[in-house]
Amino acid sequence: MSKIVNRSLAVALVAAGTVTAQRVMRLYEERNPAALGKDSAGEERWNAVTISAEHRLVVDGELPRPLQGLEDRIEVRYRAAPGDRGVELSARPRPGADSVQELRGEIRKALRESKQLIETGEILQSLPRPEGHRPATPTGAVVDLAERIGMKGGVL
Amino acid sequence: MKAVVWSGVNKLSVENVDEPKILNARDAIVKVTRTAACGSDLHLLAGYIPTMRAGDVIGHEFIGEIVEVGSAVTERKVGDRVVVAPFLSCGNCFYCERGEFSLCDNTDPNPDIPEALWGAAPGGCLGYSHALGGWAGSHAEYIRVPHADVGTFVIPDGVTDDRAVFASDAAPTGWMGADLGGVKPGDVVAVWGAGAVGQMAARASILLGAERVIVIDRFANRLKQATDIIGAEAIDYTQTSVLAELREMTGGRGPDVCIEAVGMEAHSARPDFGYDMVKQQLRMQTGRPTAVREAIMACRKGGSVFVLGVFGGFVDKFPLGAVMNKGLTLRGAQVHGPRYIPMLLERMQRGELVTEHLATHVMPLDKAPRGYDLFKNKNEDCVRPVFIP
Repeated sequence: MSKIVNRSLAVALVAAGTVTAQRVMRLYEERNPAALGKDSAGEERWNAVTISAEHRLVVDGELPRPLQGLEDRIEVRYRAAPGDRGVELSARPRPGADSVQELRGEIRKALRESKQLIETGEILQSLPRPEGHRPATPTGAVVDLAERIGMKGGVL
Repeated sequence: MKAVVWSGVNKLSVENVDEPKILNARDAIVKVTRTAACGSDLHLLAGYIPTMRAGDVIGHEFIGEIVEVGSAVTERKVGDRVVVAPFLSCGNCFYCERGEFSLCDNTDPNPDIPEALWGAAPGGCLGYSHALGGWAGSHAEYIRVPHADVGTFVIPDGVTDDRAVFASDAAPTGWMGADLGGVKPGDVVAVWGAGAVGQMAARASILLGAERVIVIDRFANRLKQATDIIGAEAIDYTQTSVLAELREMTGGRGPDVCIEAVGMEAHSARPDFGYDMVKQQLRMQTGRPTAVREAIMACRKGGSVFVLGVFGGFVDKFPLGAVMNKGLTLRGAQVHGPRYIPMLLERMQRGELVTEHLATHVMPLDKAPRGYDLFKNKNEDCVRPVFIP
């Protein structure tokens, strides 16, 4: 009998502790919006690249080719970079867009490709490599995963 | 074609792989004629750069002959004998326009990896892990060189292959350490590491007007090259206190510029070497900053420390207090090849910069695993193996 009571007590204590810890954490996050690396701007955050180009991009009116496929789902902003150092090209999901996380990845890739296209006239291709495709070792599989994310990931 | 591939930690093999193809209009295909092992390859080999994949072709310091060019290549032609910069640079972005070519915005197709490690991605580098693009390296019969107009340089007549190969990486890296470290006429410069890059940094310091240049290492053959061929003075750190020696040699002041050309696998006679080794092997730090620490402690107040050695991530017991309280300037960079290579080739042509002595072991590409073994263990007085495909 006492065993059952002790176990019930332990479960109740753990549950109460968990709930308390969650509430404390929530309170902490409310008071410190950047806790755990959280971005307080959320979906309103612009992803941006600075392109070494004339600010005429704004008046041309047409989106760079890599962004054109996303046109219906994103907002785009151009502005002159400080110190006459090119133009800042920014994009973010339109409010209410579906699959925002995935769309952010598409935006990063499109911004990086737009910058390459405008600055160099081409998008650099890295595949196929001479060594071809080889079966991945366990650590190679991690590298493959990082490469699949590639231009869609990172801090941009 | 034959190529040297990374097959796992401390495993290299020579295998048959496909020949590279032109994939972009600004590409060239180069037939490799000399390709040198670099000290930074040893970090790949030992598994300290964690984004290698079995099968990757390594090598990034090389010369060759252009055998094919893309439709947008205008400055190079088939038949040109060229030295190639290891880091890929587009020539058009903010960083390339400032001469900071290894920081190019447009040549790493995997920016997510370095951005996670360092907060931003430098340019891609040939044969140097997937963090820097996964580009196939130069230890092969042929290599694809993107943005060929920016990263290849015609070798002047009279400069031999054996001299020119070090204009790819060792010489521009060493020159960059002296240049961006701020070496001025009359300075005293100390260089940690008497390998190829350290010797080139010492020679650059002399050519930039330094009055005394002191090279620190533990290998007698390398120190002898630094004194006899480069024209520097030498300290063997296993025989004396480097800090005490430098203080005495500089009248109690310390060197004006300290250049670290060792990197993440540094050795030392001091007890902190054991501490760093244990922490690195337990992966509690990614590099052993023994030489960087010593350079910071040795440098005069208000002086400059330049980190040329490759580091991948985090290090422990970094003397930030000394940097701040002594008013030091601390800089580092991967090599900005196109900024220096044309000038260095001219100096090589005039005989001001000699490098042939660095290639202590010239051998066929088939023997590369043996060459790396000699290089890693510093056997047979190996300074650099150079492979001929």
